[in-house]
Amino acid sequence: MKLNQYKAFALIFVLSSIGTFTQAADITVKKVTGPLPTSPLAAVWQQAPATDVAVAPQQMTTPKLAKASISKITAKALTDGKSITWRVSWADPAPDFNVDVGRFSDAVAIELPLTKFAAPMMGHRGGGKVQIIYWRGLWQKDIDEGFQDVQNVHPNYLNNLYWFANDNKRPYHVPESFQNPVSQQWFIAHQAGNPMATFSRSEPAQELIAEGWGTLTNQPESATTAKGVWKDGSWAVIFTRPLNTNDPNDYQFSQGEKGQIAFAVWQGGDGNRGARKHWSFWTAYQMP
Amino acid sequence: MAKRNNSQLGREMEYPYDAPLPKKQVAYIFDINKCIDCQTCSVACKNGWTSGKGEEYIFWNNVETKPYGGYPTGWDLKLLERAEPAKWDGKELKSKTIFEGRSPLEPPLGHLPETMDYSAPNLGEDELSEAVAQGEHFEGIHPKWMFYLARICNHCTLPACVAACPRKAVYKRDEDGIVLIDEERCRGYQECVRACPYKKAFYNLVSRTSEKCIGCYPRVEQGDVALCVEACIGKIRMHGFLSTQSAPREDNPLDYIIKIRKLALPLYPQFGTSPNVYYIPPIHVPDAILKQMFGPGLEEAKSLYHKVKDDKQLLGALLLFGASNRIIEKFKVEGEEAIGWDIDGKEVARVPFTEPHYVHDSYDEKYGVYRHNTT
Repeated sequence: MKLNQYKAFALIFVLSSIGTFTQAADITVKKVTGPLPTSPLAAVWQQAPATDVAVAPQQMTTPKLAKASISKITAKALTDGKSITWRVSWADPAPDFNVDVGRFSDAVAIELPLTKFAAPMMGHRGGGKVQIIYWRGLWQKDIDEGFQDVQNVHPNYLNNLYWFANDNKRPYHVPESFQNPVSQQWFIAHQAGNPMATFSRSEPAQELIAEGWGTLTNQPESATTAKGVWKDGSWAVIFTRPLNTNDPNDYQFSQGEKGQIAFAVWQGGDGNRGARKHWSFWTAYQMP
Repeated sequence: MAKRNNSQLGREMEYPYDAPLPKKQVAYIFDINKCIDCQTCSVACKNGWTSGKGEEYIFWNNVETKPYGGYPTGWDLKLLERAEPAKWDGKELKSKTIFEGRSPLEPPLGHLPETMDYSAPNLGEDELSEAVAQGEHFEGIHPKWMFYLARICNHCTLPACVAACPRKAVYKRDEDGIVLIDEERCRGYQECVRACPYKKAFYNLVSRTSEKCIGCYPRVEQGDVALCVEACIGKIRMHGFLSTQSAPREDNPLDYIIKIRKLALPLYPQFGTSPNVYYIPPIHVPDAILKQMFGPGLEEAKSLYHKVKDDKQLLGALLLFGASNRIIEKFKVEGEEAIGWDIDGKEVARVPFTEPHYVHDSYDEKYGVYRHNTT
C-alpha cells in the first residue's frame, strides 16, 4: 500500500510539529575569503559550524528500508560569494565502493527545492520539483583508481575473447581495450546513453531532478564538482557548485537567503540502494 | 493492488498494475523429452547478445540438469523454501503467489543470489537423482532420473520484474508481450534481479545496470524465431504467439498445443507470474517432482504424449518444431504432411509424417559384403 504523496507530506508536517521527527538547528553557511576547499579533509572545514541532521529509514513507498543503520548526518557549508561547497559526513564502519549482484556502493545526495512547497521526498507529482545532486563511492573509486572493471571485483576472472577488442592485452580492461565501435555493441546501457554506464567519468557526482518517487531524471549538464573520502570510520563528501547558473534545473542560491536542503544516505554494506535509503526532512540553512 | 486474471491458476490474483493483455503474446514450447543438453542454444544466445565484458556469467539462455542443477545455484529451491508450499484444488491455486500476502511496502517475494551462485552454471549436470543399484533396469518410469531443463526469460504475462522496479524501467510491450529492461532508464537497483522467480534478470557490474533476455525482439518483429530457437539442433523448441484478443485458434500451433490440447505446461505456475514458456513434461520422470514444477494437468499431458503417434493433428503440430527459422503463425495437417505459414502468409514448412526411406538388402552383391545396421 503506497501512501499518496500529498497525504505523506501532510503526515510529515504533523509528525514534525509534534516533535517526532525532530528538526535540527539551522545550518549556517560560512563565508570564507580564500578559495573553497577541494577536499572534505581540508583544514578550512574546521572553521565551519557543524549541524547534525536526523535521517530516518524510507518507509513511505516500496521498497522500504526496513532497518536503519545510521540516525544522523553532519552538515557544513562554506561559500566564497561565487560558489558554495556543502559537506556531508556520516558514520560508516567500513566503506563500500564496488558493485556486483547483491553488492551496493555507499552514496549520499543533497536535495534542493526548485518549486516552492516541493515535498522533501523527491518532490511530488503535480508541480513539486527538486534538484538532487548525487555522489557515489563507486564513481569516486572509478576516478581515483581507474574504471572499476570485472577484475577489480573478481581478480582471477579470465575470458579469452571479447569480440573486436582491439589489443591482445588480457584481461581487456574497459574502456581502453574496446576502442573499436563494433566491440562496444555488447555494452548495452553505455550504447543507450545511460549515465550510470559512463566509462570515463570526470566527476563522482551527478545532477538530477525529480517530481516525486520514480521520476528521477539525470541532467545532461552538471556544474557540480564533488569529492568523497572515507577515513577513520566515517565518510565525508563535498559538493561544490556555483551559486548561480543559467540552468533552470539548478537551484539558484542568493545572498542572505534562508533556504531549505534535505539529505539522503545509502549504506552500501546494508543493501541500501534506490528507495532503500535513509532520508531527512527539509532543513533550513542561512546564507551569509 | 489490482485484480488480474491468471488462467494458469484458475483464479484472479493481486498484481500491482492493471493493464490490458498485449495484442498477442509471444510464447514458446520446449519438448523436454527431446533435449540433449548440447548447449547450442546457450552458445547462440551468448554469441549474439551477452559477449560483453561484465556479461561473462550472464546466460539469458541456460540449460540445467534437474534435480541437482540450477543456474544460478538453487534459484528455484531458494524461492520454494521461502514461499508457502503450492496447494492446488484441481486446477485452482489455493496458496499465495509471490505478490499476495506481502507486508506493506514490501516488493514481491524474492531473493538476491550470491555472486558465487553464478560461478558454476553446469553444477549438477548429468547427475542422476540417486545412484543406480546393481540389476536396476528401465520399467517405464526411471526409478533414478534426471532431465535437462532449458530456460530463458518467460516474458511473463504478470512479470515480477515489471512489478518490482521502482522506476518503471522494466516494461511489457503491447504489440507482442515481450518484457524488456529500458537500458537507458535503469539505475541498477537490482529489484528486478531480486524479484524474478526464475532469476532471468541479471546484474552487469561493468554497465552497472540489470540486463535480461530481449526475446530476440529485432528478429521477432521481422517474423524470425529467436536465436536460441533457430540454433536448437534437437528441434525441441517452437516459438510463436498465443492469441489474446480472441479464443485460441485451432490453426495456430502455439494455441493448439498449449491451450487447446494442453500438452505443454508452464514452469512453476504457483509463483503467479503466468510464464509464457511452456514445457512438454519428460514422460519417464516420476510425477511427484513434475507436479511441483509444472502444476496441474501433468498426468493428462504425459498420457497425451504417450499416444501422440496416433493423434494426427497434434503430431503434425509437433513435426513443425525446428522446421523453419520463421515464426509459424498458421499450420494445417493435410494428407501426409504438416504445413506451416509465416506471419506474412508465406508457406515456410512442409514436413511429411513419414520421412522418405529406402530399405537395402542385407547382402551387397557388388562388393560381396554384408551391410551392418551400425552408423
